[in-house]
Amino acid sequence: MRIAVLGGKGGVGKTVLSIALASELGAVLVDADVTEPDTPAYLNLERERDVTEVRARYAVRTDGCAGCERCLEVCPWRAVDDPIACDGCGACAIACPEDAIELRETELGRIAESREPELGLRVVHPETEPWAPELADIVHRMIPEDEDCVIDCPAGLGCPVIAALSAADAAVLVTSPDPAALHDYRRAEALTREFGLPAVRVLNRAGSDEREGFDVVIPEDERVLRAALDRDPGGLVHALREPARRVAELLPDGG
Amino acid sequence: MRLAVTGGKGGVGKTTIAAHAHRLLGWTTVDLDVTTPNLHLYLDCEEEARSRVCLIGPEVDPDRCTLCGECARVCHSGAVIVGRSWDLDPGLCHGCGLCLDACPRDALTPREIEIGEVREYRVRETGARLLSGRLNVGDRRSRHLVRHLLDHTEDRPRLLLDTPAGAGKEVYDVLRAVDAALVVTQPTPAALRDLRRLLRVIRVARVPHVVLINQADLSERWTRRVEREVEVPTWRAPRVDDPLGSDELRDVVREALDGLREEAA
Repeated sequence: MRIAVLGGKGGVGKTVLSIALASELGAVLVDADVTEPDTPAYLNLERERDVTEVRARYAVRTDGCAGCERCLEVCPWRAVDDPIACDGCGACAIACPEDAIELRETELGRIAESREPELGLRVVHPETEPWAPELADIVHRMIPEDEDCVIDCPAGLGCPVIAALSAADAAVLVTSPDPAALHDYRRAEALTREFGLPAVRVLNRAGSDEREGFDVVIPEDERVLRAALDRDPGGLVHALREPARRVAELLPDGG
Repeated sequence: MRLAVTGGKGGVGKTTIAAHAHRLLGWTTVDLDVTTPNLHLYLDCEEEARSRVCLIGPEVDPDRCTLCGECARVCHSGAVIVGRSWDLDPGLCHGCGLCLDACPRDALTPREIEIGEVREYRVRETGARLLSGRLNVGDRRSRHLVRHLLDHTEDRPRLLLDTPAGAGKEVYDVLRAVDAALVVTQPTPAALRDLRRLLRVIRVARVPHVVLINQADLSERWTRRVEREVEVPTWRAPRVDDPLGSDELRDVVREALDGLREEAA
C-alpha cells in the first residue's frame, strides 16, 4: 500500500507523522518535498545507494541567433539563457525560425536511498538543486514499485502533491486547528476526493475545542518539538506511536 | 520598492510576518501561495472583485482541419493529439500558442483555458489592496498563475509579495521580480536546512535580504546556529500567544523592514 501524507499548509506536522507512520508500518519513507526535503533534518540517515541521477535540459541561444526574440515570446518564464528558470520544455527550440536554440543537458543531483539505523527505516529522498524541473516526474521516480511506502508531501497542493496522490492507494490528511491551516486542509481534502482515495483525517496540535470531523486527534506535545530540536528520531517516533498506530488501523487493510 | 516575504520551510510564520508587514507598510500585497492562498484570513478584509485567470489554448474548426498533425508536432506538452480525430487535453496546455501559428489551414482559433482566479480584497485597517491568486484545485499550472500575478503588478513601485513555501522555480520567479526579500525562519534543524537551500536560490537571484528568526526562544542553540551561518543581519522574534495582535512581534517586523531597506540601499 502507498500512503500519501498531505495537508496543504506547511508546518502542521506532515513530516513527523510520516516518519512515525512509516516506522509503525515498516514501510519505505519517500520524501516528496523535492525543493526542500526535510527528512534528513529529523533523522540520522546513513546513505545506502543512489537510486538514480536527476538530469535536466535548459535552453541557450547559439551563434545562429538573429535576435528576433520569438523564443522569449513562447516562453512564459522568459527563461532562454537562464538555466535556473528554464524548465526544459523546448517550446523555444520549436519556435526559433533560425534553429538557433540549443537544449543542453545538465546533472542536477540524484535520488538517494538511506537507512535510519535506530528506527530501521528506509528513506528515499531527493538530493537535487532546488531549481530542478519536472518535480512530478522526480516524485514518481522516488516511489518504489513493489513495496509499501509512506509519501511525505510538501506544503501546498502543487505538482509533487498531485503526483504523490496519483500514485497512492490512500491518503492521510493532516492539519492544525488554526483557520489558515483548516482553509488549506479543505482544499487538500477536495484534491484527495478528486482522486477517489480513502483518507484518514488527522487534527494535530489540538487544544481542547474543535475535533469534529477528524478520525485521529493528536494533542499538542512538547516531546515532539524536543525530539526535533535534539534530532532524536527514537524520541520522535515514541511520542507519536499511539496516533501513528491509530492512523494505521484506520487505513484500508490496516495499512 | 518591491519586497518579498519568503522562507523555505512551510509553517515558519511567513504569512503572519507578511500580515504585519502589510499593516506597517500599507502597500498593495499579493498572495502568491496560489495552491493554498490564506493571507486574506490573517487580515480584516472584504472581497471587492474576482477575475478568472486563463491561458490561451487552441479551439479547432473541424470543417477546416485536415488532421495533418502539424499542431501536435509542435505541442511540447502533449496537450494536442491528432489521430483520426483532433483532441486537446486542456489540463496539459501551457498556452505557448505554437499550435495556433503552426496550423497551415487556419483551423485553430484561440480559446480560454481557465486555471484559477484572482480575488481582490480591500483591507479595512490599511485601505490597501490584497490580491490573492487561487489556482483551481487539482490544476498543475501554479507557476503560470504566479507569473500572471507578477506580470499584472509589474508596474507598481511599492508592492509586498507573500511567497509560497519551498525553494523551487516559482520562488525563483518571485525573487527575480523583487528588490529585496525578508526571509523568515525558525530555530529548528528542518527550518535551518531549508533556509540554507533558499539562501542559495536568493544568492543566484542576487536579491538583498535579511533574516527574521521567528519564535527564536524555541531554541537558543539553534537560533545561534542560524545567526552564525547567515551572513546578513538577523532579527529575533519572540514566541507570543497572539502573533497577529502582538505589538512585540510587530515591532521586530518593523525593525527588520528598516534593516532590509538599508541592505537594499
